[in-house]
Amino acid sequence: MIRIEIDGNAVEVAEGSTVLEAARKLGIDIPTLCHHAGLTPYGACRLCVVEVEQRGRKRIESSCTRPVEPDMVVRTDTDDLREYRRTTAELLVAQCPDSKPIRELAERLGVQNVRFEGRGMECILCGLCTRACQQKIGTPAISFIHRGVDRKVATPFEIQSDVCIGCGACARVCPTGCIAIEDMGNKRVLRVFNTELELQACSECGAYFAPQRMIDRLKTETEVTEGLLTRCPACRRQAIGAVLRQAMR
Amino acid sequence: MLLRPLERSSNEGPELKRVYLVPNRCLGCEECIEACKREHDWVACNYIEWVNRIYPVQMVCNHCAEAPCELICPAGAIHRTETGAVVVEDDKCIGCTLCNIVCPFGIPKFSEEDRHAIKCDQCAERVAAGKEPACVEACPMKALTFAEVEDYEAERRERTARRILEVGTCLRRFVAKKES
Repeated sequence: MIRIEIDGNAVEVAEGSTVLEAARKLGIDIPTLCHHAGLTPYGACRLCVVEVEQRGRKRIESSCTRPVEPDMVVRTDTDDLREYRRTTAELLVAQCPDSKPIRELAERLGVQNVRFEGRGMECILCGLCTRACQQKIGTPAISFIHRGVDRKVATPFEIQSDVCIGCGACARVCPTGCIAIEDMGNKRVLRVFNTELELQACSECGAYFAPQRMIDRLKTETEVTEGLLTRCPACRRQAIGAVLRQAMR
Repeated sequence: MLLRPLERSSNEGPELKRVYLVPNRCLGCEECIEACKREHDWVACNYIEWVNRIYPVQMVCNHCAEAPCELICPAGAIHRTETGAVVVEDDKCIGCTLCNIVCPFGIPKFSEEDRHAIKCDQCAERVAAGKEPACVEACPMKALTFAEVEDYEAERRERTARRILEVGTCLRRFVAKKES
């Protein structure tokens, strides 16, 4: 256990945890966009900056990537930091002016007007979707492509992905909400990634419930019960309900 | 391969109290669903299934011993608590919906608004405070019981024994009538 001081409060956290985790343990709210508790820290959005004082030196660092060290003194809400966060938020709003969550967060951080020219993108390049896809789902279907101002998230060669299982984790971790997943008939469409996936129909009710490729992958890589994956969750409930009713009258 | 295969044995905690249903007492009034909503920010994690459109059966997470959802979760967001319940850690969930696809009972659901999976946590706060889960307390027909499996089985044995006794007396009366 390592003892550090955050905003005058002492807190003890396990070795290897980050300053952000320690602050959250104390209930201190640090704004973040690219942080997700289930994924590795990345430090892309720069909104979680804190002032770290060690051996008489002050530095401004991103709290999500900074591991705790003994005798650290951390400040999370100084005038300097507010200024940093405000400017960063302003840049993020300039990057994607149409994203509601980003605008709301910027407003909360005190952004009045945006001085920078808009780029009209929808993505802030936080890498949450690529991290979720690569680290957790294990299908590197999407990644960053190009360099500098052209950098963006896409499938290889920006064409239909061969490995995407259509789980939708990328859309659900996205802080700007720019990845839309639409189920149209028997197709699941991820328009931003130019990808279309066939959905599997339930063998009983005929409703489309999961992408074919996800089911195939579950069948080959895991030992799920035979016949389980042909029925949709609602029909499974019905079937088990009938069994319960029969067995326990 | 990052999807974990279903072979890792889940830690079997202490003897778990579970929510058990007596189907023929259930009226399908959905009080349990309303209670669950009140307890869990207006998203219920239990269901009423109408078997043959006549018989209501309340369904909720069974907190399986080797829970497929726990084993499949690629983010490691589903784990077993000290009390033995299988719960989702909201902030770790990446929203891949795999738990929903592999659950043999079709129980975990998905909140597009909160962007994480939702399933029964057996009212952790209430149970820690010594109360019964919200659905059990709300059931007006006492169709739900919150008990350890032995206690529930004992109750079921007693119930069946009473029924046998009832049937027995009926038969005796019937036989007596015939003889006279």
